[in-house]
Amino acid sequence: MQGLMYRLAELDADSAGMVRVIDYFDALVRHGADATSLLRASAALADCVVGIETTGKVGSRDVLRCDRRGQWSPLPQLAPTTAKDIVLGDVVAGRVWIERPGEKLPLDDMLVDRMALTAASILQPRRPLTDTEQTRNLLFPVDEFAVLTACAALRIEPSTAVRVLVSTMAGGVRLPMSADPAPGRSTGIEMAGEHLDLVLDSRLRESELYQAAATHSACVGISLAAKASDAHLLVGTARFARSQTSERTPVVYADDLGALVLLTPGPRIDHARIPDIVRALELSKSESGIELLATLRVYLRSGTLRAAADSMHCTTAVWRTGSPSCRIMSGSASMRSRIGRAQWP
Amino acid sequence: MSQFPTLDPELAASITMLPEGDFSDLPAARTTLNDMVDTMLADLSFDGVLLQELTIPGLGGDPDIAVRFFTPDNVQEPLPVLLWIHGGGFAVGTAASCDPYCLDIVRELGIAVASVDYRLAPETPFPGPLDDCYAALTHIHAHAAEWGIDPARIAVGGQSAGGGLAAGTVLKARDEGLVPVAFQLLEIPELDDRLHTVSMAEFIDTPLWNRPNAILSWRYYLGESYTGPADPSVSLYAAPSRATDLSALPPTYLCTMELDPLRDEGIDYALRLLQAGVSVELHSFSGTFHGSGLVATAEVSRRAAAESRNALRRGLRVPSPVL
Repeated sequence: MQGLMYRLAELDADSAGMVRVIDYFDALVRHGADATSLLRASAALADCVVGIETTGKVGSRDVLRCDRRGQWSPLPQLAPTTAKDIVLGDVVAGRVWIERPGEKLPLDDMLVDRMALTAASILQPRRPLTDTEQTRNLLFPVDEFAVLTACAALRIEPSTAVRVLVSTMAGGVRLPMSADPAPGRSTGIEMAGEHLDLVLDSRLRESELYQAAATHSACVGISLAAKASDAHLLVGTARFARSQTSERTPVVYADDLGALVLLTPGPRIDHARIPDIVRALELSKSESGIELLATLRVYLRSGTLRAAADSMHCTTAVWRTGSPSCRIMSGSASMRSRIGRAQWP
Repeated sequence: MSQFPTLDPELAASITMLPEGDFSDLPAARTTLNDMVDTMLADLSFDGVLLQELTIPGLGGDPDIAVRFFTPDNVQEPLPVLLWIHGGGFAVGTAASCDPYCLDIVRELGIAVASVDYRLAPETPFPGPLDDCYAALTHIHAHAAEWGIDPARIAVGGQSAGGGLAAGTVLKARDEGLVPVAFQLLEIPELDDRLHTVSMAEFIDTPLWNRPNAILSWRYYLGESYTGPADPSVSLYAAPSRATDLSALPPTYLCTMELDPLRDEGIDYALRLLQAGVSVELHSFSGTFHGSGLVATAEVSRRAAAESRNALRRGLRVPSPVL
C-alpha cells in the first residue's frame, strides 16, 4: 500500500486522525481479524515493525513480529518504543508494541492502545455464543467491541434502523407477531420478568402490535429509533415507555412521550433522537412554523381547546388594535381553524 | 457507505484510511493520485534493474509515446516481455505509478517489462489510448532484436482500465495478424460499457470503483459522440465484451474481485473465452474490492499477486526457480 493509504505518519494527531485509527481497528474486529492479520494491518498503518507477545496456558511465551511489508521476524530487532499490556478481565495476557526507528509519532500511543484492545478482543477465550447471548451482548454491551462483535455474529449491519421492544404479559409468554420483525439472527431475551426484542423499524406493524397486546393483556413499550450499534443506548426508553402503559393504552411508543422521554433513567439521550424536539427545531426555522409553535404554546397554557380558542381570539383582537407584545401569540385565521380541527387527546 | 460484511478484515481496515476520490472532478482526482504516487515512489529502490525511458512513434500521425522499459541488469539473451498498461478509468494514472509493480515483475521473473504511458481520456478519447498501446506492441515486436526481446514471448497485460486496453490491444493484434501475442494478463479488467451485469447494478458505493465511476469512465473514454450503453457504434476494441468472436486469442489469466462492479463482466469474458476454445485461468478472490491489491501486505493481496505472477511465468514459459 506504500503511500496509497494514509499511514500513521501522515495522519494529524487531531480528533479526526484519532477517529481514523479507531475506525481502522474497529474494522478489523468487525470483520473477524485473527492475531496475524492484526499484526500485518498494524504494521502497515504504523509503517514500522510491530510485535505481540502472548502467554500460553502452560506459561509458554509466543512472540510474533511483523514489518510494514508483512515480513515476519524482521531484523534488526529494536527495543519497543511504545508498548501496552493486553488485559483480559483482570489478567495480563501479554503485550503489544511497536519498534519505531527515529522519533516517536504523536499517534503512536493511540495506535498501541487500540492494538492492545483489539488483541484482547481477539484473544478472549470463548465458546461460540448463542444468538440469544449475542443479542444480550448487543443490548447490554460491556464495551464498543462487544457491540461490533455481536452485530457481526448476528449478521446485522450496524447501521440498520431498529427499535427495542419491551413487553410484559401474563404468564411471561412472548408476544406473537406474524412476520418476523427481528433483524439478522437476533432473538428475544428475558430479563427480570420483561421480554426484550430487537425489531427492524421498517417491519414494525403498529396495528398488529395493538391487537396482539389487547388480545394477550400485554403491556408494550417501544424505544426511540436507533442504529443497531446504538440500540443499547435506548433500551431505557423502551422500558420507560412500557412504564407509561395502562389498561386503556397497552402500547406506548417512546416517540409519543415527546420530551418526557428525557426523564428516562440511564445514559443521556441525544436530543436529535427525539422526534418532537427535531420537529420543533424544524418548525422554528420558518415563519409559519413559528406561528404553529406559538399556537401550541397557547393551547398548552390554556389547558383546553375552548380556552385556547378564546385566548387566541382575544390576542388576535389585541394585535389588531396594535399591541406588538401580543404578536408572537397571535395566530392567523388558518391557524385557528387548524387548532379547531386538531384531534386533541 | 455500506459495510460489506464479507470484506477481508485487513482490507476492511484499509478502507478507513483510503483518501476520498471524486472521479467526476478529474483535475482533483489526478492531483490526489499523483500526490499519492509521489509518496510511494519517493523511497523506491531500482537495485538490480535497469530502467530506460524510451519514446516510440505514435500510430499514423499521432504524437510519440513514452515507454518505461525495465530489464534485469546484465542480461545477454533475448528476454520475454510484458507490455504493461496502467489503470485509472481511462482518465487518470501514469505509467510511473506502476513502477513498483514493474520492478517486482522484473526481479521475480527475470523478464523485461514495457510500461506504456498512453494518452488519457477525455482529452484523448478512443481510439487514441488504444492506438498508443497497440503502437507500443507493434514497435516492440518490430524492434525485438534491438530491445533484446524474444518476439515469440510477448505478453500484454493491464489492470482495470489497463486490463480493458490490454484485451482490446490483443483483439486488434489477432485481427491485424502482425504480432503473435503469447499471453494476456487481465487483472480486474474494465471491458463492457453496457454496464448490465448484476455486480455493476449492485455495487453503487463500493470502495475505489463503483457504478457511478464506471458510467463517467466510459463517457470520458468513448467521447462526445457516445450516446450510452445502447450505442451500437461502440468498437469492440474499446469495449472488448462487445466482441462476438473470441476465438484464436492467446492463453489468458483473468482475475476478478468479489466486491467489484467489474466482477461479472470479467467472469463473463473469461467464460466466453473458454467457450471459444481459449485456455483460460480465472480466479475470483473473496473478500476483496476493486484495487484492493494496493493493500499489498494483506494476505489475500499476496495470494492474488503470487497467482498472477505464476500465471505470467507459465504463459511466457519462464522456468520456475528450483526450490
